[in-house]
Amino acid sequence: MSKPVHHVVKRPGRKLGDPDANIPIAEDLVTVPGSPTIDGDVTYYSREYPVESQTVEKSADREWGWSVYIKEVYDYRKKHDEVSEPLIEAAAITGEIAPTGEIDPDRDPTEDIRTKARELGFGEVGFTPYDRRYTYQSKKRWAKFSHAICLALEQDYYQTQTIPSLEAEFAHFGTYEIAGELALRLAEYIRSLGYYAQVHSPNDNSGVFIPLFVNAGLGQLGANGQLLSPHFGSRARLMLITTDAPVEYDEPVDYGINKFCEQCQVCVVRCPARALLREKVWYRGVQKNKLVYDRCRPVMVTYEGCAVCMKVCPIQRYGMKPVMEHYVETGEILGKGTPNLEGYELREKGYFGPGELPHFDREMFEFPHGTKEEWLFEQFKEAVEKNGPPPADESIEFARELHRVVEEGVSRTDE
Amino acid sequence: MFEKQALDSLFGELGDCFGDSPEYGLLLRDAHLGIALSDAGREFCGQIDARVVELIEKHRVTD
Repeated sequence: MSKPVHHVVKRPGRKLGDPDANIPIAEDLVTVPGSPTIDGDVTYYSREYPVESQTVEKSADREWGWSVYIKEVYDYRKKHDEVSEPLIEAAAITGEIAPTGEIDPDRDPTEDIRTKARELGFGEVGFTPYDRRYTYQSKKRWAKFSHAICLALEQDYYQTQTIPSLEAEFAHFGTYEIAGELALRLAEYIRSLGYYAQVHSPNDNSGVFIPLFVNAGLGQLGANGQLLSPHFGSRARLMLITTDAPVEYDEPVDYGINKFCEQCQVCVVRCPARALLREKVWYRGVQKNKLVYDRCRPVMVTYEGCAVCMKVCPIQRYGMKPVMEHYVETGEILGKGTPNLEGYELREKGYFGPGELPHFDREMFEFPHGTKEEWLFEQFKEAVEKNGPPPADESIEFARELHRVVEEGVSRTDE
Repeated sequence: MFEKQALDSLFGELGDCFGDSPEYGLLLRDAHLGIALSDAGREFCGQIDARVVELIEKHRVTD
C-alpha cells in the first residue's frame, strides 16, 4: 500500500561528482529533524554525570578482551595499534599548530573545506557547533575551538557484508587508519586558509560523536545505536576536526529514521547476543534505543567484532534512497524477513537464517566490569567475604597489583 | 525468495565472473539490491546492472 510523501531530502551523491540523491520520506515516518531531545536534560547530565570514554570507564573489560580474541584478531589488533600510535600522537598536538596561510576576509571557508574533505574521500561532511556536552570528561581540557567539522569515511562494502569476520575487521580498523591520515591532511589545508584545526583522532576518540553528526544533518540515530547516513547507513567510520574557521552550520534533517527503525527492528531481532532493546528510552536527554552492554560486549570480542546489527540494517545494505522509496511504494521494509538481509554465520556456530539465533552458555556473559581498579577491588572483596581476612602475602599481592594498575594509568587522554 | 543455497551460488558466480573487475563493488551492491527487489516482487526499473539482472534471473528459484 503506497504512502503519502511528506518531504524529499536532497543529499549530495555518494562520491564527489555523483548526482544528488532525492530521498522521499513518508508521512507516517515524520518525527523531528535529528533526535528527539530535551536540551535541559542533556545539559544536566553532562554536568552532573559527564560522559567518559570506554577506554577509561571500562578498562577492565578492555584488557580482558585481549585474552578472548582469536589469534588472528589479536595479531591484527596489535598491528593496528602500532599503525595508529603515530597518527594519534600527530593528532594530539594539532590544536597547537599555528595557521600557515592568511585569512581571506571576503571568503566563506565552509565550501572550500567541504570540497577538500570530499576530494580527500570523506563521503559525508557537515558543520555544527562543537557541543562540549558530548566531550569526554578526560578530554575537556584538551579539546579546543567552537566549530566542529563532522567527517564520515565509508568502509568497504564487500568486506562489511562478510560480518562477522576477520575480513570485516580489516575494513573496520583499516578505515580508521585511513581516516586518521586523511584528517591530518585536511587539517593542513585548513591551516593554509589561515585557521586552526584540531584533529580528534578516530583511534583515540574525544567524545560521543554521533549527536554532532545528527545535528549536522548527516543522518539519524538507528535502533542499532549507529548513525544511519543516506548512502552507507552505518557502514562508515566517524571523526571530527574542530576549528576556529567561521564556518556556516548545517541543520539537522528528518530522514524518517526515528520511526522507520520502530517498524523495521531487523537489527533488534537478529542480534546474536539479544543485546538490543525493542523500545526506545529517554537517556541523558535523548530518546533512543539503548543496547545492553553486558550482552553485546562478550559476543563482540569473541566473534571478530560481531557487528551483525550493522550487517543486517537495510539502510546499510541497500542505501537509504531505495529503502525509503520501497517504503513509500509498498509500506514495507526492503529485505526484511529474507535470508539475503537477515542471514549470517558465526564461526564454529554455523549459519543462522531469519528467525534463528545462536545459543550461548551463561559463562559467555561473565566478564570483568568497570575500571581495572574497581574490578580488582571487587575480586578482593569477594575473596574477603568468602574466606575472611586474607593472609599477609595475599594482601601484599593485592597491593602490588593495585599499584601496577594505577601506575599503568587508564588512558592516553590528556598526556 | 532467495534461500541460502541460491544466494551462495549467485554470489559465487558473481565473484568468479567479476571479482577482479574494478566494478565489482558496484555490481555487488546491485546484486544485493536486486535480490531484495526480486524477493519483494518488485520490478528492477533499470536501476540494476544488466549483468546482475541476468544472474538474478538465472539463480532465482520459481515455485
